[in-house]
Amino acid sequence: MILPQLGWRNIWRNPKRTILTVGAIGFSIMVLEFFFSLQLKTYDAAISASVGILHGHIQIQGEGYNDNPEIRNVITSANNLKAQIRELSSIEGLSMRGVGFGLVSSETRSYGVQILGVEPESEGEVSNIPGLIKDGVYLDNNQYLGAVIGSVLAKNLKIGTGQPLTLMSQGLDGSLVATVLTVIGIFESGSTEIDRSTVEISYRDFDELFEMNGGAHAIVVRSKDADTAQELLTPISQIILSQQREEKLAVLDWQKLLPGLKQSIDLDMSAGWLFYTSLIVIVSFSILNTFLMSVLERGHEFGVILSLGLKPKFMAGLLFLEALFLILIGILIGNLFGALIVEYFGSVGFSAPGAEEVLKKWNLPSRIFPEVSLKSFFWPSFTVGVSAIFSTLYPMFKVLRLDPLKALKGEV
Amino acid sequence: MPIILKLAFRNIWRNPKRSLITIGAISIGVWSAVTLSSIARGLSYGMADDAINNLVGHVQIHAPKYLDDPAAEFNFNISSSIVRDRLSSLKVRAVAERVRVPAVLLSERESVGVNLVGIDPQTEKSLSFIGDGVSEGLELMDQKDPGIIIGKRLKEILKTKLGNRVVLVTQDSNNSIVDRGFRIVGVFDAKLESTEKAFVFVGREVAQSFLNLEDGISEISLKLEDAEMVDAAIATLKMEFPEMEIDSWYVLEPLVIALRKVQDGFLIIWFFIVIVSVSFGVVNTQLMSTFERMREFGVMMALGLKPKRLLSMVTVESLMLLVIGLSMGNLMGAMNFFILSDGIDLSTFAAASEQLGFGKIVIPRFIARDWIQCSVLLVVIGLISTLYPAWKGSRYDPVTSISGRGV
Repeated sequence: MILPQLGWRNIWRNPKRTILTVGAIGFSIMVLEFFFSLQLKTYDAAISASVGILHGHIQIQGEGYNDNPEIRNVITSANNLKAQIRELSSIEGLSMRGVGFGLVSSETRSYGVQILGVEPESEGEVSNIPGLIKDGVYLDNNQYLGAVIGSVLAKNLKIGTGQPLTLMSQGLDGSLVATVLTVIGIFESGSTEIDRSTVEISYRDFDELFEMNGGAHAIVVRSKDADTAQELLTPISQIILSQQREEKLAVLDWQKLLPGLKQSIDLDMSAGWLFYTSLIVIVSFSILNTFLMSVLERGHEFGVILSLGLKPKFMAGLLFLEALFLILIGILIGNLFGALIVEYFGSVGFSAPGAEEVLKKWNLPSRIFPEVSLKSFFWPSFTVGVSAIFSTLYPMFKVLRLDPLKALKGEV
Repeated sequence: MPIILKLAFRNIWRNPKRSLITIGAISIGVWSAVTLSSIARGLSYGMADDAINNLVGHVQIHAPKYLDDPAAEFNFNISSSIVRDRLSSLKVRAVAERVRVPAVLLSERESVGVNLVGIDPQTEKSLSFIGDGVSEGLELMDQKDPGIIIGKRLKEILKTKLGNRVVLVTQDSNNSIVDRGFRIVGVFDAKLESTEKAFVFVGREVAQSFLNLEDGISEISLKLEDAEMVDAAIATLKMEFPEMEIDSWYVLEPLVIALRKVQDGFLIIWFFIVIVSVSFGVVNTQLMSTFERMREFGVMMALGLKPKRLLSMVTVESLMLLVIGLSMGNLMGAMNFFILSDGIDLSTFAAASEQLGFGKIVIPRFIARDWIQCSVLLVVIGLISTLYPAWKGSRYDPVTSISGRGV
């Protein structure tokens, strides 16, 4: 094993150059790892925030309801379906909802809103709203015609708990729904959109008012995390099939329920890689430079070795090993420092200065705690490593075509 | 001094391949930084333009309580000609009077919450998107036109069509509920679906009679020829109308400005990262080239060249590499900028652009400050990092270095 030994010695013949090259590789990996793990963690936070407020990981709806929420598009005998789905393992929460749109009026103001008929006993399993009541109490089944409304809506309606709220809407059969609710609680979910336009009443009241006959518009499922949710899609579809229902139902995951979130993540990832690629290309140039230099410099030496009868292939291999050593050391050091930085911000949290407002609007916590993960180790190392190896190809190619006589004279 | 320039210039071309690769790395770094920043800026500045076009304008005037509670009750009576007159010292492009209240719109089959906006169609032309946004049917003729214009997406939601009647339900200036039927005369297109869902337009005088406002309006929106004069316009207006609430677009749309600030921070960090990466390559090259020329430096010093001048020669060499790379990178960035001047189509990410609130086409924007920051950072960091090789070269001992025994 003379080759590795030679290679190792060669890279330390000019320690400054080696340190600089390793530094360039390590620096880029460190930067990539930090940004990458920050991105991944931000996506996690965004998904769990958006999913947690109201949508859940999975929803079962009538086919086409998601694009076009018509009150007639109903899941009939929803309780029946719910009971069977609850049997599945890895379901953490399950609740059904009726959804209507209507006009609510206080004494002085009227607004168009979304009316959710929720099951008070299980809504908390799929939505954070029951836990985010800042004034009054959440719904329970003992009180008739109580309503819980968003904080922005309460402000716009100039209404507080205990006050009456008139509701006008259309029932399932097209008849007019008109009733007086009592505001019993006000919630603040943090999403202005939801806080401005949501009224929750109990499913029992909703069923009666909108004449749902036990039907629902959505069955909401929460699982442990986004990945587990994907595994639930097939068994749920199978249960629906086995029931041989008259209406067609769709099983939607969070990506379909919140297409904007999914695409925002994709877009951010693509934009991120645009930046990362430019950094990787720059580093590759610096590596190409180093190797080209080291070939040119050693023209005479290579000439001597060639005249002694060694094959150009041997030298190309030697050069490749040298490159590999440099790259591996760079990756090692980069990951080490990268992990240290990520760990540091993982414990104190990272917040971009002035970003609170933007993050809040997009439903993100203002402080992100990045974590080292397999992904955040692998992708930076892999991409930088591969492109670094590519950038050594040209110098190696040069060595393969070396002419001993010219090389001896130092002409490469 | 010129001799040093000449020497330095010749020196960097003694090993053209090495210099070219270094210049290449610098210019790619600069090019990527310039291009990516112009795309990022295009996104955020585009958002600002869209916000301004989206009925906000540069400056808005409201009754004091209106912004918290946009009801017909909070109206006022200032005519646009008076505003124009008060701002005569500034160039005003357009001033519009509007009625604007939340309402519920009902078709035969569905009902949705919308913002009812009463406009003077002619004055909106140079002010907001609705001026030429109608894609189907007709625009409103004037402020007395009895028709209504709704967004394309809203038309789909309501499952209605041109020529159909819809009913608007809202509260008038006395807070009593009023309703009136309108015929859909036009359908508008907007950059964002949320805009197409949020607004319906009727003639201003029609809205005033519907809401029992008499001559009252909800807002005045105005656009200046020069967006930089916003603060001056606000100062003047606040003096003229002390009892009114007067805001600039960046107070009304704080998110746009917040995003821009986050970008400011991110871009400068990114420039720094790119330039540090580039510098690794530059230091490497300069270290090699001084090392190679050890003997030559020894000779020069033996002939009486002062170490100080040697130091400046090597520094000038680095500076030349940096400046050539910088110019090439900027040139490439400028070319790129013109290639992309039609915009980058992000319609694949339509739902994301909806969620985050930017248009589907992003047109890169050249911001001089970014360019200057990037260039200055490159030269400063580049020079600092090459000080070491230069200093090293100037410290060679003539005797040992001539003999080639090294340092």
